[in-house]
Amino acid sequence: MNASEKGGKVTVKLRKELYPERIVDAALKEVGKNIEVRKEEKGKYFKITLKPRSKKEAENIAFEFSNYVLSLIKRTPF
Amino acid sequence: MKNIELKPRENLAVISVNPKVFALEVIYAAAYVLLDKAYFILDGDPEEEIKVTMKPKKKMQKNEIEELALKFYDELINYSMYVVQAARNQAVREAIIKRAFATNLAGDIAAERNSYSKGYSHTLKEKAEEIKMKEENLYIDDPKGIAKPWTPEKAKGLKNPFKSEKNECK
Repeated sequence: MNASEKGGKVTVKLRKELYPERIVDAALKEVGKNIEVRKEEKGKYFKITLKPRSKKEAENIAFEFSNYVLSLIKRTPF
Repeated sequence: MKNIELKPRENLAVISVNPKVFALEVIYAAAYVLLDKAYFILDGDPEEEIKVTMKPKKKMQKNEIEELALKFYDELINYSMYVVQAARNQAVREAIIKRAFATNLAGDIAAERNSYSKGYSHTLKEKAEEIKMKEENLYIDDPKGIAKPWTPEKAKGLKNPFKSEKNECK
């Protein structure tokens, strides 16, 4: 599973070859306006750490983030 | 099903897609269509096998998750067809776009014509210079004064034939 929750922080791993870095950065910039975010590079993956404001928000935030990145990929011309 | 791994306890399905059959662009498009129904995370080797983790936004039964996964496959085929058709119609679309741009170039064509007419008028001036008579040829002998223009001032003192006719009638 590419999304996990630990210590109030949610981590999602996105494969570099499938998620263009500039799109991930753009998504992080937007999401970072509301919550704490961090990006690390681990091998073939971008490790994105998100710190949601509540436990309820933490439930699907990783998936919401990946969906947001996908929508940006689709809307952004290559 | 071999390409769909259902995990009803976790409320998700892992869908395997062969990138040699469905291009990455098609996979993005298919996922994009279903973004309102499920969460998607793509993983795997883009050269060998792409694994799409699909998690429905609402809690679903096993058969419902499978149905949604199959819908994802439907969308893959749908967008593949679109890409193929787009490639086939590319030449026609380009022709239409070229035509549209050519219409916008009408102003340029008018400018070109204008420059042509300027050139044409320039040629006319040259021609006029060529056929222009020399200064000395403009004056010719007129011993009987025929060439002199008639003006009312010059008519003073001359007999007016119309005036005299009227007087005779009275």
